[in-house]
Amino acid sequence: MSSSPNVLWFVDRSAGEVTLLLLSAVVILGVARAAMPRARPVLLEGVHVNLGLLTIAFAGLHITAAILDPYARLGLLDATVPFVSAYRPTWTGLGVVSAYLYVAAVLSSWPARRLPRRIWIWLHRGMYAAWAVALVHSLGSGSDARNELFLLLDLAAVAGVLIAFLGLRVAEAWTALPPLWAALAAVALVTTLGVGIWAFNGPLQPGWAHASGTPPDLIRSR
Amino acid sequence: MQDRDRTVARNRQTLRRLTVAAAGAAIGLNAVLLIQTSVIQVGPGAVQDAIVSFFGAVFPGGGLRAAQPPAAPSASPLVVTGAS
Repeated sequence: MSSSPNVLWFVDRSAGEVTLLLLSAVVILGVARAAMPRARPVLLEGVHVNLGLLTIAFAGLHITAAILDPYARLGLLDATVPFVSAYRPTWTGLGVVSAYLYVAAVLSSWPARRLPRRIWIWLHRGMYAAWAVALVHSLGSGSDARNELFLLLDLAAVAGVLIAFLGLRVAEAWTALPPLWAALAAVALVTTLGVGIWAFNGPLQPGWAHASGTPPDLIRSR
Repeated sequence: MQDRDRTVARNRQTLRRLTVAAAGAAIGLNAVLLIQTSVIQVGPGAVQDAIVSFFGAVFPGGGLRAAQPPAAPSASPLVVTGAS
């Protein structure tokens, strides 16, 4: 066991942030593809799929580094079963939930979408939930929530996804069913505001390491 | 038919370029974040030593050495004057 951070701990954190940014790009491209079906579909879908695979590679690096790193003492069980880890159980568990939602969306799209379209589309919409849960996981379990560069990248990711959803998806589908899309736009805005208020009062405040469930000996060793 | 083939080939090439650019950007950003978090937590000297010892382990004959610790306060200072 090690009580001081090492290179794997830093790889875990940096790869986690890059995974969130790639996931954001995948969501933005997916929204653009759905909202503009005639705008270079081959290219949009190709980049969407390739970035989706790149996201899996970085998520793999993030999870592997977390398991191998002796500092936070996360094991294979913590990486596969949500909410059982000793290190920030709720917030680490959300990362596991996000990974399962993401894997469901990816596996149901390959090979050649063998599922009925209606089932596939609902599984694929789970990507929105995967992204939102990954964002909360990043803020809650990452020890870099107050790092200005990480915060700036998180804000860019949120702004990008929100603008794409409201400006492309809602704007495009609005005429078909205004009450539904107004409700979905309101849900997106309220969720974003809620996460912002929670982050401001939680991870961005001093003492979050203790409040989030970091083992006391790790807090003392910092 | 030829035009269609050409468009498909162009799309494939653009897709490949965009994918390579995105992968490069992700790897670069990962390196920047990795260095930034380590510098904040353990200090630039320790990061430099870690990088040097990593390359020292990979290339043992490279002659790379970790930075020397600062001289103890009791050590005689070395004064250099008249630099040319």
